[in-house]
Amino acid sequence: MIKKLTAQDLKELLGELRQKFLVIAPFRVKQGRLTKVLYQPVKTNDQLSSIYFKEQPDASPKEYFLPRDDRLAEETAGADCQPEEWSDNPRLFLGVRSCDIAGIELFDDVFIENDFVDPFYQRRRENSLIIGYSCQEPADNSFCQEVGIDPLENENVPLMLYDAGEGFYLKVQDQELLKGFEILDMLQELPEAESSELEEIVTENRKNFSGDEFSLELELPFPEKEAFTSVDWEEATASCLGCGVCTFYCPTCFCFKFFWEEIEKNRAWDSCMFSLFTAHASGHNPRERQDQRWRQRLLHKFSYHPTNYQGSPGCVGCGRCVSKCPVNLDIRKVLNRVEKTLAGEGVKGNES
Amino acid sequence: MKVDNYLPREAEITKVVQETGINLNIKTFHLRFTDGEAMMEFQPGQFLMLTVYGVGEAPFGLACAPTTDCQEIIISVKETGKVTSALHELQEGDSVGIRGPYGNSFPLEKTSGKDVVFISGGIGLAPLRSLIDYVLHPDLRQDFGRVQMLQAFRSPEDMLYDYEQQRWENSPGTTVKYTIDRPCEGWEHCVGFPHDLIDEELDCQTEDTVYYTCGPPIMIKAVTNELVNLGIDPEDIITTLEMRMSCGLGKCGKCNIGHRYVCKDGPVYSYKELLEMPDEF
Repeated sequence: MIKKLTAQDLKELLGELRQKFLVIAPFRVKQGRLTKVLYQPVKTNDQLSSIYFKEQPDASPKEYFLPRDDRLAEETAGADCQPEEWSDNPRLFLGVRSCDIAGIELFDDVFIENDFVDPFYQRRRENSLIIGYSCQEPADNSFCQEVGIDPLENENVPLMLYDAGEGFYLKVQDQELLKGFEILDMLQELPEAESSELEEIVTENRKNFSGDEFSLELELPFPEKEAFTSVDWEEATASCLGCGVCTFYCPTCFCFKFFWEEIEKNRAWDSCMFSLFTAHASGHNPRERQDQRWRQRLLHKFSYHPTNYQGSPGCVGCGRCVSKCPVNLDIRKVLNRVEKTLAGEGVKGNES
Repeated sequence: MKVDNYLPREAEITKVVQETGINLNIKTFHLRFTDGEAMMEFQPGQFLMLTVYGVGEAPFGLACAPTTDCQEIIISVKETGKVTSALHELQEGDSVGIRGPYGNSFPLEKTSGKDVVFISGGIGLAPLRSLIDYVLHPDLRQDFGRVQMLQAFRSPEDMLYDYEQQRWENSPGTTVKYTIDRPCEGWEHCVGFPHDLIDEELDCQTEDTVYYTCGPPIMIKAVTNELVNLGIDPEDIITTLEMRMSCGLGKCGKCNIGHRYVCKDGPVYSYKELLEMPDEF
């Protein structure tokens, strides 16, 4: 089912959805001298006309699922303690691009597994509905197609929004997933569109995505031991400052630590870019040097994670780590180097 | 699906044993849960996450065996960082938090019916004790062959579990040898590093014997090298690793060695597995 909406229709639909959902959408936000596109909760219907789809948001919505810092509970609350209710309202994420959807799916793999469920993540995830957004042109430094992500279509979300210049198309992809959210009734009133109209737009937009200069040749996972030992990591990553910005902006980086405030047990993002990440109390550190930590970040995404999760890449190609790096250290260049070294070793990938 | 909320169960310290002289400061803590069920189910070689309330949390290998008469959780702790220092301040009757048990375990099936050799360095004896007490338990002793131990310590002052050693020495089919780094007056046992003593002091059979070793990383490396030199199959050499950990569940990312999480896929590995892993521990 495809619905055709004017900008006004979309505003009215969202206004209605706001009665049921906390709507979280991308906005242009001034931060000092910079203007950034950030996911923010919609507080009034007036704000709906300012929702801004045109650029890739500055950060993925990962902090809404795994907050930067999060109070878990009092540490004496016990192993049966349930996460507190944050809100009775379910949350609706509007305008999430394929790369960031893939980031959330990766979190699902990690935090809702057969042998392990993180109740804090699960509670937030189950309380969330995602409306995807079809990209019209590639974001700076992005290479999503090289890691198997289609920036224009995404079947893993129940609803997908397409920008048609004059208005929007909204594709209902999975009615099952919408059950319990009572959103279908609201869509009934809107006019239906032919799938050919939408296909035309997607085909036209797809032309903008053909110019990827970067390509990933090897199948994932990269062979672990060869990649670990044979690449000159020190030279490839020599400019790294170890600031960790890449990991904080990364939609797939989920590493964390606990911290305590008196009796409160909290969780915060942590980063493999920091030496303290792995430092033992004894002083021993398995990753003493920055290039060893860079190797960990790259191989976690292109070798270790795919090994543990049926070949699924640990990178969604959003390009943020490249754009945000203060010293322009580009993961694509490092990847090229890794591939070149592995090719020299006669490794075809996926054979470790 | 197993839900884990990262929050500990409360346990009471029922006994504190000062193991060593003040130079190394190792204490052994006996613990019981306070919520009615005093013990937990676990396997030799597993570890727990222990919370010192208001300070933090760290992983410790279990130093007790899951035998029928095991009434208390036992861990041995060397004062090293923030959590261990705070723990050393605690006394009988104080409360701590416990999560777990976590990780895989020593390969009991593989060891069953075979001779067992334990080579330890310092507090590396603690995690091995979970298997030593298992193998030497009167109800289970017949399931295993001859038992040999070589325990290394810096000095006589640094010896662990002197109150258990007599029992171990007297167990049927068991020999226990001790070594210290440097000669010392009144010491009647071996002197020197364990890897130099293996050939002489232990009867190292290449068949039907499983070798367990734990200690400082450098000692583990030296011992495994020596065992391999003596013709032991790397698959028959078992060790247990230590890493910094936050969650214990294979999520937080700190204990990664390659695609493996030491907290979940380990901490117990055979030397054969270690050879397949990137050298990052």
